[in-house]
Amino acid sequence: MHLSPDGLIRLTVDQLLSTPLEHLVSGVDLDLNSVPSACGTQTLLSGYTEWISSKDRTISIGWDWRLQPLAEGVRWVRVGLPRSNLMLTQDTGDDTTWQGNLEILGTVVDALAWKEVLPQMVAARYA
Amino acid sequence: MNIVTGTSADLSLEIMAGVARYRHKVFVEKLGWQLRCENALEYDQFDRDDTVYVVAHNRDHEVVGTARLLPTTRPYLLDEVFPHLLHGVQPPRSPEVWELSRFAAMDFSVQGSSALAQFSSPIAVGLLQASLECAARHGAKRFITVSPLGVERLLRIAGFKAHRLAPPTIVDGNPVFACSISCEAQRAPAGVRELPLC
Repeated sequence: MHLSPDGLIRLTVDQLLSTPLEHLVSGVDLDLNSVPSACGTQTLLSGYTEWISSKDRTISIGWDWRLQPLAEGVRWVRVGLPRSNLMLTQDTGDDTTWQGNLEILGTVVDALAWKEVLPQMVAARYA
Repeated sequence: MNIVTGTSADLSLEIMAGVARYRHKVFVEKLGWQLRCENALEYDQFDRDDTVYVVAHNRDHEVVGTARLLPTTRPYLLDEVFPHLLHGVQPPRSPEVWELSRFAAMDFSVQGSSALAQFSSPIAVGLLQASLECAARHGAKRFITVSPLGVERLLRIAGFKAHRLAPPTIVDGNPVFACSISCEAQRAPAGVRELPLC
């Protein structure tokens, strides 16, 4: 794992998977969610969340989320690909493609327990 | 929209005064930044002889956008004022890395627009593209900039290749971060709403 002159931290997937990530900050899209919903309509909520490594606090991944209404309750879903200062390298040491890197980071994000953490973090910030 | 670029020596006194007036209107009057100003003109220690400006005018020759480009081989905002945003990472110092600051794309001739809404395309995207091209002509391969975190999302939506340099830092309750934007040819932006950069 090393910081490159382009400002990206290069590491392998295995190195990333062995890096514990913890919640840093999350927010709600207030501009998009500022229109009050009429009674009986679904309230849409979206925002962002940021996570860092507790081992190396320069490692940073953020992504967007939204609340998806279900027949019963709601589900928190990731929207789009993550944003990060990480570039995953292949076994050869070469960079993953820009898009491929983001897609792999997305699968790493999906394996995190962020959906369990986020509701209380958002509630605490906007309480 | 007409865009001109150059140092203060290249641009007329009228244009430079217009830039300082415009920056005061945007950053002090609209956004409420606490900046030391005189006579409703905004400029600081980073407005030097080697600073490169990108200035957008509308058909009435009014300033509708500005950007300030600084080489990182000389003092610049992130290095001097916001080094903590890099979380211990050494600030870049390279002729291939330039800093983009005081970026604004707000057309005051458009009535009734909010401060946020006025950071809107196509001015913002056109100005950023012109800034990237201008920096590339000076040898830059990438920009760095200090921005609210939301800018990273907007750059992504607009199709610019950008990434954070470190985790965001909470300033006055809002996440701010250091951003790197590639000067490589960018694909046509799909539309962006606002791009407020410090």
